[in-house]
Amino acid sequence: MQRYLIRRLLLAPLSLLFVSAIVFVILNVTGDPVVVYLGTEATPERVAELRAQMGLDQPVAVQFVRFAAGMVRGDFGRSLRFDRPAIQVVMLALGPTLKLAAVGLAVALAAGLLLGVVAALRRGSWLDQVIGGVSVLGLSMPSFWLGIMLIIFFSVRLRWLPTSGMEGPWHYVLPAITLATFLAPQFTLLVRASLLQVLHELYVTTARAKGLGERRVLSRHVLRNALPTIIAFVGLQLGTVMGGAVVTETVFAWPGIGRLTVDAVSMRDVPVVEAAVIVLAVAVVLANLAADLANGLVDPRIRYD
Amino acid sequence: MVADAERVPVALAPARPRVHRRRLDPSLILGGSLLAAVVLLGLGAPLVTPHDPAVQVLADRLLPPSFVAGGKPAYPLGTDGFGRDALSRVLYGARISMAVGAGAVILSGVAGTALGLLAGFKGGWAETVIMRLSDVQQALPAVLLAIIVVAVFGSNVVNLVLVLALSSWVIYARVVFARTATLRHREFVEAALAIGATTGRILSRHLLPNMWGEVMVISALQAGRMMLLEAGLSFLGLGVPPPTPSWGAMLADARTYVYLSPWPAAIPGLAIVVTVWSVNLFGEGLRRRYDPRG
Repeated sequence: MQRYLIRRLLLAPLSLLFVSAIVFVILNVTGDPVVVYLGTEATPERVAELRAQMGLDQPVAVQFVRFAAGMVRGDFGRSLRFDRPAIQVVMLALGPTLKLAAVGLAVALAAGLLLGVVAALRRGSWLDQVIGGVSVLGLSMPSFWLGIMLIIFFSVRLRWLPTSGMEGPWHYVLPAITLATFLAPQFTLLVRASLLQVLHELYVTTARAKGLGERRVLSRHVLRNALPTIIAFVGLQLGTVMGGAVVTETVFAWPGIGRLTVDAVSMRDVPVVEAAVIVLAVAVVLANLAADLANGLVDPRIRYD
Repeated sequence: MVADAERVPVALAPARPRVHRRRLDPSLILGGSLLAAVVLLGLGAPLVTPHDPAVQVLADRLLPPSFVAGGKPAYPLGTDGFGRDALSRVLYGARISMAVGAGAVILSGVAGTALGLLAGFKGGWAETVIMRLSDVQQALPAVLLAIIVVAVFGSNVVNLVLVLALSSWVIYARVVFARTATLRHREFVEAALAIGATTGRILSRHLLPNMWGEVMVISALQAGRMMLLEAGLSFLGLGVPPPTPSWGAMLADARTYVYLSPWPAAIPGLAIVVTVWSVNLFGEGLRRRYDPRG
């Protein structure tokens, strides 16, 4: 476990270095952020000034070393649009995204666990078929479309819920439902599949044979053993959660990192794009690591090497 | 005696090849036929559409479908904010969705499967590089990667296919890698090695046929994902550029009019749901066929 952990901890920064190299090459080598940002009518003096300010007059290798060194310190340069440190702009937007992702993830997990357990226990019944059918339908629905439909129905028609922004708890309802509908079907199908694998294990039969109540068999023997698969999956899905959040935030004008990134890309605010992508990549890598650790705690059989 | 004599040769006769007489899965039939219908309608769009998808009739803006009060029979699914026929645009949009989805699935499927085979068979150096690359890829959410690439290199069908393929090869590589690693030391592989078969031959003739099922199932399920991602990127304005009708872009346009009419938003979304649902149904059917546990 310790060796595995150390290896993972060493690999994580390496992954991030690769990610940053990809981002750097795409954004800095292939285009000229200064010209795009200032427009073609900018005076040559102004272009040169901004270029020097961003260090773009240096050789590419020097730029990358500076970029990587800055990254370690959390310094991505100043946002061109907000004229503040890019990392500050991104961190400010990270909070709303994490809040939305947490609420959406919680709703999706609750729904997925409930529906998945019911479907697995009633395998082959009409209820199982309905849950399976609805899950596949949910997987086929673009979340931004669902978001727009929810806005049309609950905000425009009924006027019950706000369409955009993040002022109070009511503002969470529609975005969270949208994000949860995007995630819940995958959780449902996964919980069902991993329960079905465990349900036929001998120790479950033994637990029943020694007279344990069905509820106790389910919670102590079945769910507990299906948990590692579910935790690992949720950890791996965090990238998808973030991707879903980008689109959801755009639909509901949520002041999060997703909308910030989309806006920053269209304005060519390169420092913000770099900071946002790296921060999200760090979050995904950390989530995977956390999922591994949680698995080690839940399942003492997992020893890794 | 006679009966015994007759029985013996039957018992010794070689087993007849096992014929799969399993009932065709209903979701395979439903998904397959729906999908075929969408493909045909998309391919035949110029023949079946009542209007040119780009022609704007400003007098007929934001009409509801003809089956709703206020609709005109000339526009079966109504019109958008520029007075363009929704049915024609939806049918032409199917072409983009299909082309991008199919292109991305083929590209990522071929690349991911090849890399997975190589990593699993060669091990060592090849395995380290390919699997680390897949780790990196997973740390970069697909939507973000697509946003960056499309924003820098511009949005056209080719870039879209490339970006989607880049976000999807990992899943093929991982599954194929795991499967190859378990088959690597089986007798039939050792035997092929012993008689001097080349790496390419072992990979394509001995290992690949053993994982067609998995690869087909992933492809079907990824096809739906690719179409949804394409729609999402078009919705964000990062997809196929405007004059071409695409479902995601139609939805983005329709957002402006949600206070006036729900139809321009509802209809392209329904087209996406029906298409992706049929692909996913088909994939589920395939999965059940190859994975008896499900």
